[in-house]
Amino acid sequence: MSAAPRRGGFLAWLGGATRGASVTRLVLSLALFLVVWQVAALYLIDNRLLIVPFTEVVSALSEEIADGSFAENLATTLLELAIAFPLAVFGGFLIGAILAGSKPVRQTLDPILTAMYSLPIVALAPLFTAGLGFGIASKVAIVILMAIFPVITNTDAGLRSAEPNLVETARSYGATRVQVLKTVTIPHSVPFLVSGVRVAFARALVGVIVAEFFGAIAGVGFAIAAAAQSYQTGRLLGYVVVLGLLGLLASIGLTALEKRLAPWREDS
Amino acid sequence: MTATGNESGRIVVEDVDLVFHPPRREPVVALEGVDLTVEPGEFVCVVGASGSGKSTLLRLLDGLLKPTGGTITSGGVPVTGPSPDQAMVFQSDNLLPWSTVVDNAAYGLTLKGMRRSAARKAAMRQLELVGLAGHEKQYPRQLSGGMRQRVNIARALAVDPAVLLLDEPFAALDAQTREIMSAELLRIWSADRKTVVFVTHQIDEAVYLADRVVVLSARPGTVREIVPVPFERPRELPLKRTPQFGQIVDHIWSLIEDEVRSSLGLA
Repeated sequence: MSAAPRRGGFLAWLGGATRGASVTRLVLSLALFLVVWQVAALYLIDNRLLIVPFTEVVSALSEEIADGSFAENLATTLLELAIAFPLAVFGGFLIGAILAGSKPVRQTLDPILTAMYSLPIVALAPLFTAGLGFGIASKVAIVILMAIFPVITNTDAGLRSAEPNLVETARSYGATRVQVLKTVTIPHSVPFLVSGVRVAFARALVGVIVAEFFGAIAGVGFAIAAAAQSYQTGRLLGYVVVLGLLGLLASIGLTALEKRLAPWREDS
Repeated sequence: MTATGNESGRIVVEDVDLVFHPPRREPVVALEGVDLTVEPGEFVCVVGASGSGKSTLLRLLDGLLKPTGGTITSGGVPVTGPSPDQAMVFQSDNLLPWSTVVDNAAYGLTLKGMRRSAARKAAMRQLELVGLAGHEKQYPRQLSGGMRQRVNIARALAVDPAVLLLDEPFAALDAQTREIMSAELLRIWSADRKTVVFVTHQIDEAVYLADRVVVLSARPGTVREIVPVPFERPRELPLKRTPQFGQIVDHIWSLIEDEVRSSLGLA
C-alpha cells in the first residue's frame, strides 16, 4: 500500500496485488481511454455525428444533470434492473437446481433452454412494449428473459460437476445427502454461480437499454434513442459512458463478492 | 464411540463375494469366497496384482459397497454402511479445496454434529501429531502432496475410529517421501494401535508396515496366502535392507508375479 519497493521500481509495484496498485491501474486505464478519445475526436475523425470531443460530452451531460432529466433516466433504468435482475438470478438458481436434481426434467427441457439461450431475445422487445406498455413492466420482462438463461445453465453445471472423489469421501465419513450438498456440492458450485451472474448482468444491461429504445417514458435507453433522433451526439455518448461505468462497477462488485465467497481460489 | 468390549476393532470377513453387473456386459466377479479376520490393534496390509480387488475389498470393509454374498462385521456389528467407528484414507487426498487445513481435519467431526470450535480443537491435536501444526489456516492447494496426505490422515484420526482403512495412501507421492511417510505412519499408529487395513501394491511397503500381509490373487480376487511378518516393533527403515526382509518380499512377489505378467499380456 505504501511506497513502491526500490527493486523493480514503479512497473513492478503496478503489477502487484496491493489495493493502491489496483486503483492506480484503473485510473491509468481510464485516463488512457480518455486521451485516445480526445485525440481521435480532435485530430483523426471529423464526423461530428460519430464522435465529439470528450469535453463536449461532459458539458452535454452536465446540462442533463442540471435540468434533472439525467437523474430521472438513470433512476428509471436502475429501478427496472433492481426489480428484474434479482428475480432473474433467484429464478435461475431455482430452475438450475431443479435441472441439476432431476435428469428426466433436465433432458426434457434442455432443447428448449438451449434454443432460448441462443435466441436474440431483444428481438422480442417491440412485442413486449406493445403488450405490456411503455412503463417498466415491459423492461422487467425483457431483462428477466435476457438474464435468466446464463444463471440457469451455470447453476446446473456447477451443481452437477462436484468431484465424485469428494462425494465418496463425504459418504465414507457418514455424511447424509443434505450434508454432501452443503459441504461439497454447493461450495464447489460457487464460482460457477458467480460467473453465471456476471454474464447475466451484461445481458441484462443490453436488454434494458434495447427495451427502452422501443418505447419508454424515461430511462437511459430512452434518452439515448431521443438523443440519436435529434443528432445530439454529445448527449448520446454521455449516457453510453454512464452505462460503461455501470458495467465496470458491477464487475468490480462481483469480483469482490467472488473473493469473499470463494477465498480458496485467491492466489497465495 | 467404540463397540462392545474386546470385539472393538475386530474385523471378520466370511466367505465374501462381490459381483459387479455392468450394463450390457458380462458380470465381473471382483471378489470370491474371501475369508479374513483382523484382530484388534493389528496392522494388516493387502497386496495383489492390479485387478485383484484390493480397493474393492477396502470399500466393502468401509461399507461404501455391499457384498453380493457372505458377511462382514466390524466390532461385532454387521457393516451396512459407513460407520463412525471406521475411517477411510483414500489414495488421492480428497481434501475440500474450500476449507482450511484445520477445517479439513475437523471434517469428519463436524459431519457428526460436533460444534466447530470443539472439532477444530480436536483436529489441531491430530495436525500436531502428523507434524502440521502452524499450517492450519492454509488452504490445501498451498501444501505439498505429502503434506496434503498427512492432513488426510489427520482427518481420519480425528474421528478416533477403532479401524483405520487406507487405500494406497502414499501411491501418489515420490519414492523418498513415501519412505518417510510410512515410517511416520508407524510412529502415529504405535501411539494407540488402532486396527489398520492398508492396501498397497508396493510389497516392501507392506512387509515393512504389517503384522500380516494378505496376498490376493486376481480375477476373481481370492485370498492366495496370508504371510506373517515376524519383525519386532518399533521398526526402523534400515530393516528393509536385511536379508530376512528381502526373503519375505521375494516370497510374496513369487505369489503374484505370474498374475502381474499375465495382466501385462506377457504370460
